[in-house]
Amino acid sequence: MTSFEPPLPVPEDDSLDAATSALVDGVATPEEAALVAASPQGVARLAGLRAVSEAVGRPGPAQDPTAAASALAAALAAFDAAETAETAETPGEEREDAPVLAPRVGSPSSVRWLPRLGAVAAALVLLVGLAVLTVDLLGRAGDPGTTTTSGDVAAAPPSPAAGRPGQTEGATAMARAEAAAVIDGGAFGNETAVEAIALRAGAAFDSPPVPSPAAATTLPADLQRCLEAGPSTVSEKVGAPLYQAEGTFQGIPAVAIAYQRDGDPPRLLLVLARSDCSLLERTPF
Amino acid sequence: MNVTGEQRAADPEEATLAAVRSGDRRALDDLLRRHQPRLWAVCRRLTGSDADADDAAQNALIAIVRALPSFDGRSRFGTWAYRIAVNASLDELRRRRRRADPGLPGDADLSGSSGEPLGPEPVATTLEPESAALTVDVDSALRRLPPEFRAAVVLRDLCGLDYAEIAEILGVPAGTVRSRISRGRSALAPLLSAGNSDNAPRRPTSRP
Repeated sequence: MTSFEPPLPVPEDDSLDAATSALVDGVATPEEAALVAASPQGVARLAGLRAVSEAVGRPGPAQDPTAAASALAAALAAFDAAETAETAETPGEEREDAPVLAPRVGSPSSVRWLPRLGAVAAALVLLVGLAVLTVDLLGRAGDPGTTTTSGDVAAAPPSPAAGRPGQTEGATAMARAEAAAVIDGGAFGNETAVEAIALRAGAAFDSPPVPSPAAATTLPADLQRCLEAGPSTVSEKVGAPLYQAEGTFQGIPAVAIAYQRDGDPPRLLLVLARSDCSLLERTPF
Repeated sequence: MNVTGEQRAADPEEATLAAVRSGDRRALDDLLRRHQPRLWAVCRRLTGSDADADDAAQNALIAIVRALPSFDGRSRFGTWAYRIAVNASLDELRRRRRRADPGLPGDADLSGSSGEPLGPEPVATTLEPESAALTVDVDSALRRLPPEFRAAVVLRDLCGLDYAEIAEILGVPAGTVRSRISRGRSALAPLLSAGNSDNAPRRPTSRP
C-alpha cells in the first residue's frame, strides 16, 4: 500500500511537556521535576519522551563508503583549487600567514577574482603551449610529415595519453594547454577536480572522463548537440559550460558537462548519454 | 556556545585546525574524516534519505573547506560544522521540493521567523498492512515533523548538543530551542513510543 503520510500535528507549548522534556535532558529545575513526579500523566509522558529521545539518538545506517570517499575527494579538490588560485594571485611573492583556502563562500571578492585568475592562468598555459609548439616546429622545419595544423591541434584529444601517430609533442602540449584552459576556466583547479567529478557521479564512470577539446566548434556533432541540450534537461537556469569531458558512464557512452549555476554549490555537473542527450546524472558541486 | 581562550588551548582539534590553516592537506583530510560520519548522520536524519544526505553532506564538506578561513574559533569547530551541515540539508530539502513542485516557495530558514516555512515533507511510504500499525521508523516519523522542530530534536538527541549550541546553530534563542525540542518530541511520541497511548497529543495543536 502506498500512501502520503500527513504532517504531524505539533502541540502547543505545555508546561508539563516542557518540564518532562527538560527532565529527559537533565536540565529541569526542581520545580519542574516535582511537577512531573506529582502527576501520573507526567510519569507516563517521561517514559514516552525518553523513548523518543533514544529512538532519534540511535545511530542510523552508515554512509556508503563510495559516496563518503567521493564527498571527501570533492572537498579536497576544493581545497586544491583554492590553493592553486591563491598561488596564482600572488606570483613570485612569499606567502606569510596567507590563508590557503578560498575566500568565504559567496564573498564578493571571490566572485570578482575567480574569472580573472582563470583567464590569467589560461593565458599563461596557452603561451607556454605556443612556445613549445614554435620550438618544435622550428626544430622540425623541412619535415612535412611531422607538422600539424591548428585544426589538428584543436581536434586532438587532450588526455595525457595524447600523442597518437602523426601528432608532434608540441601539438600534444598545445592540446593539453587548451584542455587545461577549459578545465581551469576560472573555476576548476586541476586534475583532482576531474577525478572528483568522476567520483561524484557515483563512481559510475567506467574510467575517469577525458576532457574534450577546448573549442566547441571542433566537437563531434553529438557532443555539440548535448552541450546545447544540457540546460534544457534540468529545471534550473545554468550559465555557460565550464568543462566538458567524454567517458563511458555505467557502460553508456556519455558526455559530462559542468555549468556555472546560481546558488550554492556554484556548479552543476550533468552527465548525458551521447546517443540522445538524455540525462544520466545531475550533481551540484 | 562561545569558546574561551583557555578551552581553545585545551582543544586537541585546535592543533589540527592550525595545521589546516597553514596549508596542511593531510590535516584537512584528517579533520574532515573525523567529522564526516557525524555530519552525514545529521544530514541523513534531516533529509530522510541516503541520496539527499550524500548531496547535503558533500556540499557541507565543500562549504566547510571554503569557509574555514573565516572560522574564528568563537564556537567549537564541531558546532560550526554542524551549522553548515544543517544549512546544507535545508538547501537540499528546498531543492527537493522545487524538483517536486517548481511552484512552491522555498525561502525559509530554520529560525522559522522569515518566509514561508518548508513544512513537513510529504512522504511516500510503502507499508505492509499487518505491520503498518506497529512499525514506524524514525526517519519517516522525522520527515513528518516540520524542519525547524526536526532540526532541534536531531541536534539534541542525535548530536548531544546543549540548548545553547543548538540555539547558535539555528539562530534562535535558547528558550525557543527548549520549546521546539519539547513540542517536537511530544509530536513524535505517538509514533516512536509504541504502546504508550498516553503520549498522544491531546491539547490544541498548531499546524506550522
